[in-house]
Amino acid sequence: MTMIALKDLSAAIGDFRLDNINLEAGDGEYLVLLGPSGAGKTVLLEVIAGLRSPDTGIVTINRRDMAGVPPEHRGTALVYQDYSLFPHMTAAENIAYGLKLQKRPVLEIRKRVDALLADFGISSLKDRYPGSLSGGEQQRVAIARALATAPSVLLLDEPFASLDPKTRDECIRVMLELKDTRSITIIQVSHSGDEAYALADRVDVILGGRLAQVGTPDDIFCHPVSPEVAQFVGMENVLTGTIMSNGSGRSWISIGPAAILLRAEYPRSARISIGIPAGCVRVVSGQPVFNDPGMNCIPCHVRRVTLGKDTATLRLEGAIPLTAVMRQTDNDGQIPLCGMPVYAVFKDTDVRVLSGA
Amino acid sequence: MALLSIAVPELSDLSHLASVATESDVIEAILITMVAALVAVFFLVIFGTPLAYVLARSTFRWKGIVENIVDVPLVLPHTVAGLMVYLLFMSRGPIGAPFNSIGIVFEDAFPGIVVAMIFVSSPYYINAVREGFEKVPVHLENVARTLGATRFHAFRSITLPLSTRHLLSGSLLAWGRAVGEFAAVIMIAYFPMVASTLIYQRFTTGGLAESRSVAFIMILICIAVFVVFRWLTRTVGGYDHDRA
Repeated sequence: MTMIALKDLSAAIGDFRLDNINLEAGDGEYLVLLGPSGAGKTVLLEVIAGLRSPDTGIVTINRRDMAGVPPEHRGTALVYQDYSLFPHMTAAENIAYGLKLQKRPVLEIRKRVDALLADFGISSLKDRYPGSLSGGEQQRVAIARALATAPSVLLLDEPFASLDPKTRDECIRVMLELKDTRSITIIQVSHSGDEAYALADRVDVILGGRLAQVGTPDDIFCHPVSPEVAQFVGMENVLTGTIMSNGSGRSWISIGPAAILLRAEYPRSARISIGIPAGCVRVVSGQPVFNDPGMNCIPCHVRRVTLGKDTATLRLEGAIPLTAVMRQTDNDGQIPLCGMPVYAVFKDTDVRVLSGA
Repeated sequence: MALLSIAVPELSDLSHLASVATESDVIEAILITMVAALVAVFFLVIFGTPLAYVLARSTFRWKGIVENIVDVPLVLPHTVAGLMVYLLFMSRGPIGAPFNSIGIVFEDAFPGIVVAMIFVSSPYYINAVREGFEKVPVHLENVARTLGATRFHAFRSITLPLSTRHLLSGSLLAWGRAVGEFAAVIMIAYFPMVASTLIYQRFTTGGLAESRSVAFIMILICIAVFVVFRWLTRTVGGYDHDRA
C-alpha cells in the first residue's frame, strides 16, 4: 500500500529548484533519496513534513491530500542532519516532548521514554543535556524523540553525514534493527552510495532537482540509466561511442581508437553510452591469452596509483582512459608502478549500457 | 570622575541628602519615573515581542521598510520624537482624540509619559529580542512542529525559553532608556514631573546643590536595578547556546 506519494511536485526555494518530482513510498518501505549535496533534498523533506509549501503538485500521505494540513497534523517526524535537539531539555525531556503535547498521562510518558531510551541503548544519558552528548549519542536521542509519537513516516536528513566511520556503522546497524522491528515508512536523504546500499529497499536518485532514476539499490548501482547517474553512483568508467558491427548477441562499439565488445545486439551506427565498474577491470602486465571470446583487452600504461586501506586505484591511459580498482592482495601483492605498460582486461558482460540505442 | 563629583559632596552632607530624599516632590517624581518606565516596558513586551519575532523569522516584501521604521527613534533628536508623540497623542491628535473621548488624556498626564517612553525605547527592546530569536535555529521550531506543536506552542516552549536572556536584557535596556528620557517626555507631559524633569527644573531654579541630590538618588537607584537585573539574566536561561 502506498504510504506517501508526491505528484508533479515543483518548488523553488533560494537557489534550489525541484522540478516535477514524482515519487512513492510504500507502507513500511525504506526509501533513500540519493543525490549530491545541495540538490534540494532537504527542501523535499520539509515539503513532505509540511514545513514548506510546494509551488505546484500534491503530497499525499496515507492517500489523503496534505494540502493545507499543518506539520503538527501530518504524522511525519523529521530528524535533521544537525539533530536539532532542544538544548534546554535533557535527553529524556527531548524524547517526552511530543508525548506531552499529546497530553498522555505522566506515568505512560515515563514508561515510553524509558522503553525508547533502552531500545537505543542510551538509558544512561537520560538526564544529560544535548550540549554534553557526542554526535552519535545526539543522533540516537533525535531518532528516539522522532519515534516517540509513533509517526507513520520518519524523515531523515543525512543522518550519518557528520559521524565518524565507526559511529556511523553502529548507527546504520541501529537503523537496520529499527527497520526490522517497527513497521514504519522511512525516507532518508543521503549523498552516500554506501548508506543507500546498506539500508534502502528502494533508491530514488535526484540530480539537478529532477528525479533521475528509481529502483532497487542493485538497479541503481549496477544498471544506471544515464551517464549522469552512473557518474554519481561511482561508476568510474563512463564512455560514449558508436556501434561498428554486431552479431551472435554481441556488438562492437568504437570509442575513439579503441573497440569494446559488449553482450547485447545494437543496430549499427547507433550512439550509446556505456559504463564499466572499476572493480570489474583487471590489470595484467603481460599480453594475456584467452579462451573466452567475450574478453576485452586494451593495451595502456599506468598513469597514477592511489593506495587505499586495502585497495589500489589505478588510472590507466591508452586508447581510452580507464580506472581500475584492485585489491592489494591481487597479483600476489604486485601493484603495477606508474608508467608501466599493462593490459586492461574486462568481460563483455561487465560492460553496462547506460543509454542510447 | 563625573560620578565622583556628584558622590563626594553628597556623601559629605548626608543630612541634606536625607532631607531631599524624603521630600514628597522627589519621591513622587522618582516613583512616577520608575512606574512609567515599567509600564512602557510592559507594553513593549506585549506588542514588541510579536513584531520582533516576525522580523526575525519571516521575509516579506516591506520588511526593509518596517525595519527602518523600528529604528527611526534611534536617529531622531528627542525633541523631534517628543513633537511627533505630541502631534499623535494630543487631545486633537489622530490617536489622542479617540482616547480623549473615552476619558484617557495624554497631555500633561501619566499616559503621556508612558507613550513618550515607549516611543524612544522601542528600538532597544525590539532589536535585542529580535537578535535573540534569530539565534534560535529555525530547525528547532520545525522539529517541534513535526512532533505535534502548533506554531504558537513551538514558540512558547522552544524559542521563548531559549531567548530569555535577550528578552531580559532588551527589557532592561528599554527600561533604562525610558527612565532617562527627558526631551520627549516634557514635550507632551511637563507635569507630572519625572525625575529628569525635576532635576532640570531644580537646576534652572534652585541651582547645582538642589539638583545634585536628586541626581545622586537616581544614580543609586538605577545602579541597584542594573546590578540586580544583570544577576537575574545570568541565573535565568543559563542553559542556552553556549552549551549546545
